[in-house]
Amino acid sequence: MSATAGIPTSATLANATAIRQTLPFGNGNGNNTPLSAMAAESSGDVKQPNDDSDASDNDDPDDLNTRTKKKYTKDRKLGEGAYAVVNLGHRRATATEPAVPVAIKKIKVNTEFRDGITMDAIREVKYLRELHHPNIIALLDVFSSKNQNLCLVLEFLDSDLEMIIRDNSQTLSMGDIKSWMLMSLRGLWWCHKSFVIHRDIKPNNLLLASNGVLKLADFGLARSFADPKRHMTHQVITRWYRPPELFYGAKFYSSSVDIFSLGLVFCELMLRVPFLAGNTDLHQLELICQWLGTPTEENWPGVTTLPGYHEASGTVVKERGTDFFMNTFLAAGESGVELLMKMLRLDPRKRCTAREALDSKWFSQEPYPTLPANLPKKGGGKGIEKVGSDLKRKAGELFNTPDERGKKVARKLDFGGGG
Amino acid sequence: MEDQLYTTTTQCQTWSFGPSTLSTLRATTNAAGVRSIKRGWKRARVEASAANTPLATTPIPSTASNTPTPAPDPASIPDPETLTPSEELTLVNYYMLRLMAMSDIFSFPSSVKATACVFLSRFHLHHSVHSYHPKHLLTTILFLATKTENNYLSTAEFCKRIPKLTPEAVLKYEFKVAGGIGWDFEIRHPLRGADGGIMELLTALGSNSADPGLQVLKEKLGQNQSRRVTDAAGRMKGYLTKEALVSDVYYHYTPPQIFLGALWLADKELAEAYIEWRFGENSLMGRPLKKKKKEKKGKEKNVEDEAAAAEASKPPALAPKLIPVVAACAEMMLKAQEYEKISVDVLKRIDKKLHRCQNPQKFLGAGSPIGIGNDAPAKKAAEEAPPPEKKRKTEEDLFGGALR
Repeated sequence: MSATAGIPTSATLANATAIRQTLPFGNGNGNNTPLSAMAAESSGDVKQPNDDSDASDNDDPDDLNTRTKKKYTKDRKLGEGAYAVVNLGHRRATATEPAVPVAIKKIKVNTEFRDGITMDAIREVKYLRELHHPNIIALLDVFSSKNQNLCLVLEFLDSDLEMIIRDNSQTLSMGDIKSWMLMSLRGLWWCHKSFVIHRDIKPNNLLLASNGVLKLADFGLARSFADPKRHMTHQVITRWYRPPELFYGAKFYSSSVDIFSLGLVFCELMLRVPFLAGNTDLHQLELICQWLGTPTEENWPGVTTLPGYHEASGTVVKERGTDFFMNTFLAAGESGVELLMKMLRLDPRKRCTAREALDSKWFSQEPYPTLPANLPKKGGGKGIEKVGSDLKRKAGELFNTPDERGKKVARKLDFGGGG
Repeated sequence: MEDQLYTTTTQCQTWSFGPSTLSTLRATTNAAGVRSIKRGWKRARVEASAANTPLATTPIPSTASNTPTPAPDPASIPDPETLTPSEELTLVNYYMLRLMAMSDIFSFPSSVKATACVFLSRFHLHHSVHSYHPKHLLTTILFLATKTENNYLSTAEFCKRIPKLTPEAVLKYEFKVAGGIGWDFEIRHPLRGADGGIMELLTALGSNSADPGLQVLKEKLGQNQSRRVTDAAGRMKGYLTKEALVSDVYYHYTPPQIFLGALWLADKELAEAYIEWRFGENSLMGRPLKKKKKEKKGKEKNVEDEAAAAEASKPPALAPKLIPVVAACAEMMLKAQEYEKISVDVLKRIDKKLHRCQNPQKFLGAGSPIGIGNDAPAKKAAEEAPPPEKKRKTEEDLFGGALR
């Protein structure tokens, strides 16, 4: 497991002039051993801050912040939304490393949120600082701009899965789909292994690097597994990918919500349109009942006790079996359909885990997953702008303009409820 | 696996140290703080001598208007006495106790309280109190902890509970604090593991399992086993939410070790028996109940069947290695109690020293305050409301105002 990849410590990034900063935020107190500290003191080392200099106050974190900021250049704007501005940038070349492109996500000061750093930003920083995995976007640095905007320096990824799905000039083979599913599941497995639920899995949060590698992004809605008995908000996950338990207002749920979302992404990769695209929450639930089956005590013991449970209007549809899925998703083959069904079970307890999904026969059967480098790439130069807009979108939303948002997405986070 | 996972966390990678590294780090931070005080005083002295030309009106109050009593020569006033690393630590730990009390006002869950304390401690590991007086950071830190622990409440709500607190004051240093702790918001506490351990104990004691280790455990605990465990659990929780935070154990031990250390303090016999059961010679190594491993080297131990395990292939029991670690951890935790006993006089003396360090202008008649929180009048368009409150805080209440 390559868990240690990802964020290089500042120590490795430190250039010659900043060599003292061996700690990531050490405000210049990098001499770790008494020996080196003493040596520096007695030899009058130039790097030792001069007591007389007023100019550089090494003890000020603003100073550290400035140093961090100076590591990057801002090139051009990729997109701007209500929530953040995303710029393409570069990490400046150092003696040992060449310049690297990065995405700088500047979180706007939200006029409605008067309480400092927003919860989305807190969550994103909190989890990305900890999660290091090849299939999870890397957070390289964090700094604040002069206007007290939070800037997240992220690994630069030039397209997303939604662009690929919508690009009708592309033909996606089953090997391609398998490859993307495999990479998504690996990233998800690592999240869940680290006790983090993503809570916003959808095609445009699955970003693609130029070498074809897929990475989970946007942890603005993520949370760790709750302590027993502590309530969790059900107002998460973009509607089209939201599992039924959340529509029923479940206060306790698990990583299986992510599995359901990813199951729907699987469908979408095959159908090339969202499988269940409801106009309202109610409509979405109807679609789930109609296409996957109506939740009942029989197929989902306990469902009727969920706080928001209501009986479905219309005829009760039995939870769909292999026949239905084989008809609809023939291309996936038997083992693929089996996996899909396990991911889309109505009862969250019956869904497979990311680990079980990874063990599916499907991945080891022909056609084998396509090598990332050989996967279809997005056409033209639109990709960069699109990803810019993905990154700046408010978590959980499908669209960028307020108009669209108002009409189609009714997500609101209830912070008070201990979400 | 869990142990491997822990090694990928920022807590393990950037916030775990050997004892000597930790003290070196504190000494280095202290030295940097002292340097900044010296710089500030030097600046102030230069300004003061410039201002001391005959024509200038010296800002020193009352005495200064005429020649007979000239302002003392700034050069003759010695640099203030600065704090030692251990004095810094004393001050930080005192404020950590204040922070706990503040958290209790809100009845925040222990995860919020514990996270706030770790934030404070980590912040001051790299930032000297010479430059950042902890009293200015407490509310900011507590508020940030509510957000990172998913216990968010608005600043308006937050400020209602603490007299004279404004949202501006809470948020003013938020970036400083967040950056100062390296944006590492995730803190691994021993609390959850401790809950699990107690649950496991209670379940096992209530079962009729034939596990020989468990029989030994039951024998050792004597009568009223469950009662004994729950009582110990209560005391353990107390250690975990106080001594564990005030001491340095978070820097030196893993969360499960801290849990066991606290259990050790709560009921040594119980802790020993528990470790013996889980990791001793006869341990079934998590066989009956799938259970998180307790320690780094946990990986080596394989689940074996009793028969087979009796033979040579059995991995060495972990308990003999674990027990001294846990005991050392417990001992370190216990040291934290000294901080509660430190007299107010000692604290006042430290704070007075710090006050002098940070305010050369009051002693030299020129220059500006050093460090955050003291810059209210100098910088920015200091308009109407904030300064009076600030002044009150720093002058009247040596320790940052009444919080309760």
